[in-house]
Amino acid sequence: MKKHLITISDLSKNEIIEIFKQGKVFKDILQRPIKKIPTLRGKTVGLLFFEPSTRTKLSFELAAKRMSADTINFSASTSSLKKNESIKDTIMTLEAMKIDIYVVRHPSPGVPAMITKIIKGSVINAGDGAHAHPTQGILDAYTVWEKFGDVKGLHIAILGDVKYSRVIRSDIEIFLKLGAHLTLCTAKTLMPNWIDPKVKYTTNIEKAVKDADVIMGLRMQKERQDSAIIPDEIEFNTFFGIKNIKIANKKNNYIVMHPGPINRGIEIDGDIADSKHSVINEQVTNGLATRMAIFYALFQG
Amino acid sequence: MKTFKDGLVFLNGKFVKKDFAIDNNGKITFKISKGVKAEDLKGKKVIPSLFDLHTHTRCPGQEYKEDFDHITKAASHGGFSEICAMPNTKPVADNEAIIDYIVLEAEKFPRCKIYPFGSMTVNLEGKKLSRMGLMKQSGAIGVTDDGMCIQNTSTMVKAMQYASTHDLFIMDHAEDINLSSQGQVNEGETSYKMGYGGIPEIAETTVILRDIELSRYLEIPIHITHVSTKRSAELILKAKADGVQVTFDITPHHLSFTEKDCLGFNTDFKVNPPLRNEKDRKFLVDLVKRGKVDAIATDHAPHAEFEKEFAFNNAPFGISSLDTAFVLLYNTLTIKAKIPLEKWIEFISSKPRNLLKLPQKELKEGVMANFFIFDSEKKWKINADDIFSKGKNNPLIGKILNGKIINTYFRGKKVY
Repeated sequence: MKKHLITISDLSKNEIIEIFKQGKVFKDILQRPIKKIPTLRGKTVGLLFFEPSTRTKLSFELAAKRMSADTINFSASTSSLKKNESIKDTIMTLEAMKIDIYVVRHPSPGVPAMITKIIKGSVINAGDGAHAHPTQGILDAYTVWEKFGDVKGLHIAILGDVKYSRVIRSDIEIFLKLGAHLTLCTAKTLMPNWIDPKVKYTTNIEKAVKDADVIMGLRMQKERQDSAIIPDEIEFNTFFGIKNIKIANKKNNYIVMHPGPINRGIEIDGDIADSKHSVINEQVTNGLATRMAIFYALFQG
Repeated sequence: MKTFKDGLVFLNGKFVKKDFAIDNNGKITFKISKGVKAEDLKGKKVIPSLFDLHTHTRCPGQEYKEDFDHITKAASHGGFSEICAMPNTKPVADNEAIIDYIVLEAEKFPRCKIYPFGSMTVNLEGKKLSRMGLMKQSGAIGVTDDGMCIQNTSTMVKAMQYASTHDLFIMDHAEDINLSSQGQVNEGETSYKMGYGGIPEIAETTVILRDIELSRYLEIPIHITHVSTKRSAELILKAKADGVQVTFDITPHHLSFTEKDCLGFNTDFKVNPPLRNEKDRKFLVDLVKRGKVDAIATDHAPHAEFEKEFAFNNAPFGISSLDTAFVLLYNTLTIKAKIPLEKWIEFISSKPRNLLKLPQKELKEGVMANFFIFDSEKKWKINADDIFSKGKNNPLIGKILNGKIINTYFRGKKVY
């Protein structure tokens, strides 16, 4: 594996499968009474979250601790972010403390990539604006791989806010790499101007979910939207939300995914999120296991 | 008297081998007495100095980005004898006092001539008209709300009519801010892959269409600066064919780079209008080849290093391009696109001077010596020290280019 994980393109198909296999081993370990392994003993993981995050930060922190690493936290207030020079200064200060792995989330795309140029250790991108969220892509693809045994040839329908989503960019990249068929379904105002030509797009949800093995919802990024994108949440939910009535006639063994946190009644209805098809909570466990596998892969070189 | 021998002198559109001298009054003469000591140019090119229609000189008010000392050094280093100062200074050049200041301060650095532009509206706010007449009396050569394109069409009508009352050259930076304000790079594959908002082509073309219609209706000439897309250029060419008095310029960076250069998050490629795609770039180069452009202008936009550091979206737009504009054009147009130097040099010298009705700089007997010496054979690596502008936000730093400006003479004196 490369020294840094900034986007899915940093990983080959084989490396992804290796992470999955290792992730499965760690997932089993997580079921044991003693869940700690010594792999990262003596290493320091810096968790640099320049933007609020709950589940990703907890997941990385716990993954590092389960592997016996020391962790330090840096959370910047929004106001100090406005002075760009402070990012570099912050990193240089931490660098002087001999950090081995930087886990970085930042609202500006490209910042984790820029950090790789000024530090000695490794950088894992924990989400940079709408650019990439590779570890979310890995855990999503792992969840599908584990459920179906293989990702190749599966039909995946993705609904919700595509334009402002970093998750979708990493998901599209990893699912295409593993040979899945992707269909996006959302309002045209929530679609980017360009999308990989291998990905299908429809405005008709019935069409999108008809052959789907996986139905994935994306969070409406309310905080990133400017005005006049959708009329309101009720209208959005009616046409593009994951609802029982819309997915009633489909095959029986499909799964429903969502990177969380979910907006019940907007991109996904509560009864679907809680149904037997839903793997939303399992995704969280898988996130922990795959992040441990990523740390492991980084230290294996 | 300083004599030069064996140079290729640009005369009447051609390079010819000719010896010449600068006399004691700083004027060109071809009457050389035999046997005098002469500088051997060994076939290097001698070219009348260049003209830049679009330079952000930043002063007064933003001397931390650029000052008259550095900008005049950068201009002479880049082969320019005249540059046009944009009015987005602090305070804005929207009144005669600021224009007076620029004219007087710039004269303290006699390496090139600075022609100031005034703003069309007070504080570039697009509301109240600036004192365009008084600014002209103080030396303003044209008006523009560059960078802050007037959004209200009714205000634009009045600004054009009033500028025309004083026979001022009108230049517009065509941008619909409502369409572009969320964007950092060209809208499309690059904005998607970088995860940044895109600046769509229509942010430029819709305003160009507006300007064309205003120019046609009001019968007032308008110049569109830094045209960046194929579609924009096509709209202007069509309007020209219809008899509308619209002209336009292109920047060296839109001729040389594309949006793909931004993918590594290098903020030195972040410009407004953004670098577009290869189809646009090729079309613009082809326009130069066909002689269809009115000017090439640098849009030199220096920024301090800390401003261009790190987060792409926090970095201001602009490339510090004056030092290297000519050399970059030589690489893009002559070496890569095989357009001879003598075919495109006019777009960055005589053509923009004509647009502003200014006298030409020529290598003629008895005229003031304003020229530069260009070694087209020299290959060199550009270092940060080679950028004389205060702004080091130049993506060519570290790159190897063909051709180097060796010396520049302004009003008979060697200034670089």
